[in-house]
Amino acid sequence: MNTDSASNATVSPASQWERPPRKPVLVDEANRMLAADYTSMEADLRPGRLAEILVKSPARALFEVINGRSAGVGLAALVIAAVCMAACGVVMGMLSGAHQLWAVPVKLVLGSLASLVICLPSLYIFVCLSGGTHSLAQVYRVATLAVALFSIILLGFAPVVWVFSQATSSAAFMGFLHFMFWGVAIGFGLRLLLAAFRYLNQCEMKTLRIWCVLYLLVQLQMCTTLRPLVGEYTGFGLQPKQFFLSHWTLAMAGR
Amino acid sequence: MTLHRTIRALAPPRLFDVPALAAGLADPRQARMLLVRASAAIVLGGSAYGFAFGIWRAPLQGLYAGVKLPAVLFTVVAVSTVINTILARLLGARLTLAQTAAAMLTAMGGAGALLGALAPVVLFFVWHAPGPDPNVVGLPDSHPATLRAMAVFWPLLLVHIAVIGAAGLLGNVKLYALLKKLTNRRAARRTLAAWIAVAGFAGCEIAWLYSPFLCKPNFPPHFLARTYFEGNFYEHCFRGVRSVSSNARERARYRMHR
Repeated sequence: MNTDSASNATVSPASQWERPPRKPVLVDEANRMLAADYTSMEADLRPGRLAEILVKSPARALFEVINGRSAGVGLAALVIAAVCMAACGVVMGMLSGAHQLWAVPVKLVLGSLASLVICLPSLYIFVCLSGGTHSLAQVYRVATLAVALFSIILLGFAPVVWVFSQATSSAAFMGFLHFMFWGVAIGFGLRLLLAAFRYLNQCEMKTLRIWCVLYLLVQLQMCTTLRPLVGEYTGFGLQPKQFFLSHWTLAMAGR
Repeated sequence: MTLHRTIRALAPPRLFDVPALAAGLADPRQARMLLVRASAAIVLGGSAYGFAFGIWRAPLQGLYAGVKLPAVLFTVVAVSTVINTILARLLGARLTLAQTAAAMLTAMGGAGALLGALAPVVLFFVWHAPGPDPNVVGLPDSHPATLRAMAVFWPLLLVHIAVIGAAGLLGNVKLYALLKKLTNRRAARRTLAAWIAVAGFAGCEIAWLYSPFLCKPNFPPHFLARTYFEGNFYEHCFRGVRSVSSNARERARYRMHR
């Protein structure tokens, strides 16, 4: 009796409204992905070496960004992204050949860089809003790692794309193929970004998902702005302004 | 060095750091820095987004909107602080007037920072929207050329409203953790719901008073509406709904007679 009354006395009226904390599933997943390898790269910072590490154990590159040679890793990641994007652009331009062989790589590199610059302030604020405490420079470097991984995976698909580009002259089919591979590659890039921030902050960072949608929209619009990436060369200047959905609708209608 | 320190002090992570905010609300010395930080976020972020808001019509309209958007955020805090303090007390959160004002300003600071960060993205999309036809300036709303130009105006306005609403909501939702730290979960939830309702209700009318932000393509860029204090936002919405329903009735009657 006494024990019951004692336990009742300790329960405050407010505590009945307190829910037990939820299991941080997403944080556990990020920990599984990154915790084991979160050590120094212990090697030189050549872009080739970093590319290998990004694919095999991205946590080591992340460790360098946060604790070690951060500026060097950021720069090397940008170089990887630019080289891979340029190579993808060459393969993409092979469908039409001629001027597209140089125009598409240039557009892809500039477009990727512009997308990153446009979305970086919002990424920083969304990281802060989700509970992150990193500086703008650190957020930028983690983002470059994600973009570099995205570019490497896109380059991995390049031989497949080349085979198809030699077998067909349909720009619509090739556009769909590129879109599919772009989706897979960017998915892996964003997965690394989310896991990195979840691991570093040990919280679920749910609002970062909104930023991912924003980044996807900017990338899709950037592809429309820099068109034609697939198909005949129509000059290096920008085409008339068009929203990506209306462009797709017209493209699917064959206009 | 002083500039670097100032920038570090005003950095957004501090604006979303709940323990620091709670300490700021309890300690008047820290509260001053909190208010400066939130005000800076409102001014810088609100101006950047305001410019992206109005730039579709003309750069001048962008500048006007850049001045007015921070003013809207500050006015919302000013007009709803008293009622929010009363509501907080009634709903179980023991907050003073100053604490309520500081908490609301912080929420708006968060919204301002978010809006400022989204400004480049919005600017990028606005840049792709077909620009307003300069030949429709001075034509009535019902003119076919004006109606064609309005086909871009309305979707753009709705997107801006959605983005500002979402940023305001996210900024305010961040207050939940702060209120929970100061009271308990139940009182925090009730107080936050009441505050969001008040901010939304007052915010719509205040934004209406400060309009236009985007400016219709058949009007030249201007700072404030000429029909000032003639009706309010809710009357306008009611009239809009009534005109849509009466138009639908007219169309139905026309179809029956045919």
